[in-house]
Amino acid sequence: MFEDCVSGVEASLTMNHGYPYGVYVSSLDEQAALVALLKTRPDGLSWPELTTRIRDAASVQSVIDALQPSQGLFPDPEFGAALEAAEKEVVSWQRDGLTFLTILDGRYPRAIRDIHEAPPFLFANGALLDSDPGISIVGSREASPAGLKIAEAVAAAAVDADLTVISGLAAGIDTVAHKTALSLGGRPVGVIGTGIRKTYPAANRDLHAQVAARGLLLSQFWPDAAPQKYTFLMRNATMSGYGIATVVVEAGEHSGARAQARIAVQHGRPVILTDLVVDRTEWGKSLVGRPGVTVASSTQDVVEAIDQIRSVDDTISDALKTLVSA
Amino acid sequence: MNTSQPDAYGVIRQLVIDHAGGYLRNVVWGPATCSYCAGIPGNEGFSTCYRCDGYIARAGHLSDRRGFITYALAGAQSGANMYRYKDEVPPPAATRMMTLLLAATLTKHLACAAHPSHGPVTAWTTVPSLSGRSHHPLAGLAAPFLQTLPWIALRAAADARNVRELRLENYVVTDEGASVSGQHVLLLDDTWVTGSNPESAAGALKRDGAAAVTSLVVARWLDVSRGATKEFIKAHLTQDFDPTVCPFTGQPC
Repeated sequence: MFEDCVSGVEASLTMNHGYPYGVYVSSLDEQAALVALLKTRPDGLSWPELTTRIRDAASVQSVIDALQPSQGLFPDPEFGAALEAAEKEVVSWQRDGLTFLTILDGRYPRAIRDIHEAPPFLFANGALLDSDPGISIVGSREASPAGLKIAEAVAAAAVDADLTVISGLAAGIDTVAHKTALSLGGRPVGVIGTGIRKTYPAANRDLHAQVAARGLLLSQFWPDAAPQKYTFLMRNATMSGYGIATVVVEAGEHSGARAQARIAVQHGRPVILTDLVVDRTEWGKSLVGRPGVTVASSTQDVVEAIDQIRSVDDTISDALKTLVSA
Repeated sequence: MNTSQPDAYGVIRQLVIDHAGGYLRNVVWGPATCSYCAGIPGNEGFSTCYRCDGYIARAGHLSDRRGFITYALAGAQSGANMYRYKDEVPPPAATRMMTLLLAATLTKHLACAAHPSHGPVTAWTTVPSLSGRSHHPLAGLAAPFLQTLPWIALRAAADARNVRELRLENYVVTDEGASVSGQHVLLLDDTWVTGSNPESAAGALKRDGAAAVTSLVVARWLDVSRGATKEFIKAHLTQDFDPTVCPFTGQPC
């Protein structure tokens, strides 16, 4: 049913945002197959397990064929119905102007592919870039004036260094980081804990729109999904994946920023904690000395740590050359 | 430039820690693990797991010695990287982890692979894929650090079957590489799940003339769905990864 519109969609997508022709764009059929697969979860497979299979096979359809939910003598009526519903859904998303990326899409952010929680799909609103180095700036919703000042300084330093400012569009630190990036002409990327059609908190509606217009919004949930505790945790993992490092500006003992710092260490992504976080939290103290964790006492410290992180590929290749030639 | 080697190694060691130390875990050799494969024995009081018992009962020690660089777990970064580094377009972090681990280990611990009577390794190869994956990047990633050793062409046999049991006829040495005769072969593999493939490959190398085989496997896969695995992780895998810990002995080198 999609053949008529697919070619047009592919053409319009590949012409956008400076992506080269030949970047893989999943067809609406493939998108619908993925949605149906995730909604029916044949054999009780979890989303991460299904995602691993899809990545191994580099195909959604061959995973479905292997699981055979609609094959054989007696087609599975549940899967058939899910597929039919999914076909309507992906078309409606497209009509609404939502960009739906499967993990197989060439425009699915490469950095997120790195992490083991890479979501099977992402909704995107804004400009997807082939390469988008940035840092996550995260912290408390109830930040102190000092914390807000640091967030502003770190975001300004990121813009100055041509780095994208990634945040979660929550109140407090997140909001200041993005507003600073916007006011200085930087690129904001918001990784949100709700569906792409939702705004949380409601007070950030304008900021959402500006981030989408001048940067990018990403959501890993169904478009109308409401915020939940677990959605913010999942979002933190995705945010850690998108950036080259996470900077925790100010956070309490039970802040979501704590979760992101822990997750980033488990990803092998560098974490920069301000001395504010280390001084005031037990979890901050316990992260000192863990792999990839740096403590910063000034904006300059953050800038230096990020310079080092950015040059890691050069550092590795220099060290390897010396090792091999020794 | 021998003088610069310690520095370059020091840089690589620190990069391994910074970029993978938080999610990798050194392999434990001791009473808690199988003395053959560093997995978790099914029965308390046994020094080897039931699977390794089976291999040894059937075929003796096919490999003379085994080393494992890290544990890998499904549903964690360690496990994902072991899958994903083989993708046609691998995620950068997975390739980086493999490169750094191989660089650090083959620089520091290759000498630890010396055999009591056959001495240091004299040649190397990898366990070929039986799953028909054409792209198998392990040999390419390891080769720069093994330049001084001849490479042996171990190939999957035409009638190879991935049966997850010992099947030496799955592998054959061809004359594309160095002669295997009398060599002490370093056999590299990426993941030990049941061990049937690396052990079969070790057996095939000996059948075709190798004097000794030392296996070095990047990741010992642990099945996290087992309760015993969860307890083992909680009790024994609490320390961040340290590249100086020897894959063969579990002790710092």
